[in-house]
Amino acid sequence: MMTPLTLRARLLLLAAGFVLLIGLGAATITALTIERDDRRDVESQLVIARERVTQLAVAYIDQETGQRGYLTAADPTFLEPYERGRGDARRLTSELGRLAGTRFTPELTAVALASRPWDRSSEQTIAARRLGQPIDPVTIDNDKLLFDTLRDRVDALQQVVDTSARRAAEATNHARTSINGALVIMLAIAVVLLAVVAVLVRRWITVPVSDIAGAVRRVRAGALDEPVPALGPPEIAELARDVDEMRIRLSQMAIDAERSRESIEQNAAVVLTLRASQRPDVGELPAGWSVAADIRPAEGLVAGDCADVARLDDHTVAVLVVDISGHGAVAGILALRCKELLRSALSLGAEPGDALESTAGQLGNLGDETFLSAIAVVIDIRDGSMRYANAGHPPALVCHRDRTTVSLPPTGPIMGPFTSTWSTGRAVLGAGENLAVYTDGIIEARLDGVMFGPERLAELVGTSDCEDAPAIVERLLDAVEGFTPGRLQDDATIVVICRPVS
Amino acid sequence: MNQQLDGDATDGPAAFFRSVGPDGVPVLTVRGEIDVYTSPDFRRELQTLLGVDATRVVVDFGAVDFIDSSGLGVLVGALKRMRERGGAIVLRAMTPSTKKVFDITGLTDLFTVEP
Repeated sequence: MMTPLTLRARLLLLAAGFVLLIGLGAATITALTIERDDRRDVESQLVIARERVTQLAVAYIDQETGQRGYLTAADPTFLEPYERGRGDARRLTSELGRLAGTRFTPELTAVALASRPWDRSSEQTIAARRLGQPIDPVTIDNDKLLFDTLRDRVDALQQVVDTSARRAAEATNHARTSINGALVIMLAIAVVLLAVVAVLVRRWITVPVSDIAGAVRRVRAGALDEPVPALGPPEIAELARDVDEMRIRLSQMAIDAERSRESIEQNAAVVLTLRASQRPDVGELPAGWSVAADIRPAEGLVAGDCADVARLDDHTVAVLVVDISGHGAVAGILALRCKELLRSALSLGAEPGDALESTAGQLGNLGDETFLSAIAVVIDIRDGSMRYANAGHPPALVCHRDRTTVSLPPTGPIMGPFTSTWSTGRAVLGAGENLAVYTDGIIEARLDGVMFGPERLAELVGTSDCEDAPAIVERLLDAVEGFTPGRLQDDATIVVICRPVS
Repeated sequence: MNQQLDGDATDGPAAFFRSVGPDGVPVLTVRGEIDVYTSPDFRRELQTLLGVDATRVVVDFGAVDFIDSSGLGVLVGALKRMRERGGAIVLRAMTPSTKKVFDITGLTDLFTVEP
């Protein structure tokens, strides 16, 4: 199968054809113009020749009239036109000889041959008359015969020259007409050629490009499944193929983007569910008691911290806070699992230390560098007595009414790296006092090397009598975020529980 | 006198220097803060020291201003690997604030602490 000509080759061929036609046309018109000029030159010469023949005829007549007048009147004044006519005849004959070419040389030669005997005879008769000799009538008749012959020859010459001049004029007109005709034909050819070029350009370029443009507009409008046709000359077809490849890539990117969006939506649902699960679900507490909690992730929506305030029974509330080393959803899931295990163990009546131990056993190996800290505080709401266990977690703070604080320090190490045990400590939440359980994201928030610290925390939590816990939590977290403008370095979690004064 | 093994100082909030103590024990001297941003460098430097097949490695905390859970995690992971070969990691010259972090987390009992 023959490879189709490229667009470049087609346009070059068109241009070559155009140049060839123009060249031929120009050559034709040039040739016709030269021919017309030649014929015009011939015509001019013949027009001059015609005038000269007329003048020659007049010259001979003047000569004959002068001769006859002198012979009759013997008046020398008649010799003037004779001599003049004679001279003019010679000059005109010579000039006609140059103009004759091949057109009327025979006729001119006949005139020259006829003029000699008459010229000679007339000269003899004039000479005889000048000497006073008698002129023989026979001689006069002979002269007349000779002149008649000469005049016939001149008439014949006149006819030939007239005919030649007329024909030359006709030939010149014909040449002029030919040139005009050639110009008209060239113009017609140029128009036809332009029309052909327009059709070809439309077929080779305009229509394929328009089709491609239409396909691109449809792709832009969202029709990513519609292929771009590879039409036209090879270059345009290749352009169409490149555009179609781009369409295929766009289509794939759109599919990938849609999948990513669906994945994000799915993950978002999981993330939101996880985030909700990390937050404490507090049951109803007795009148006057107030509890609040909040978690501010350092990254995204899910923290590596988890908090819970669980009503274990009618008179027991458990406060749980777990902090996984790390951030994000993976750490959050682990923290949630730990919290649920702790809560379950406490619900079954386990001491907080034992609950930590059973939770550690069930969590098993957390990984090379992963560990968690946790604190579980079980509060008897009848008298404020607390039992707690702290696995390497920042000490919880009991804030007294006199603004002093008591810490609930670790009762064992962090959970994860190695097998450990945790003891259960005891403390009391007095009337009108606040308990703050938090993660290190609160106290280790820092700016220019200065940490927020437990002192600021204690001041914000224990600055008044048992006010509304939610207000304390909000004030504290706002203070932490204001302390580190921009972004928290670590997840920040706080649970505050307030025992009423009475 | 400490013999310089490899002077590898990194720009930024933390700097790390590896050397060898007079007893031939590899020493990693840390300056600045060990947090989520610098703990990858801390991990890389500590693993380099552990790769020398030493059974005893010293981490000098004399110039450490702050260490968070990511830094503690690096140390815990390194300690696990050292314990597998019967080795130990020594924490030297901790500041009171740094030691407090190790005390709260209970890691003081897992590492060898030197003044």
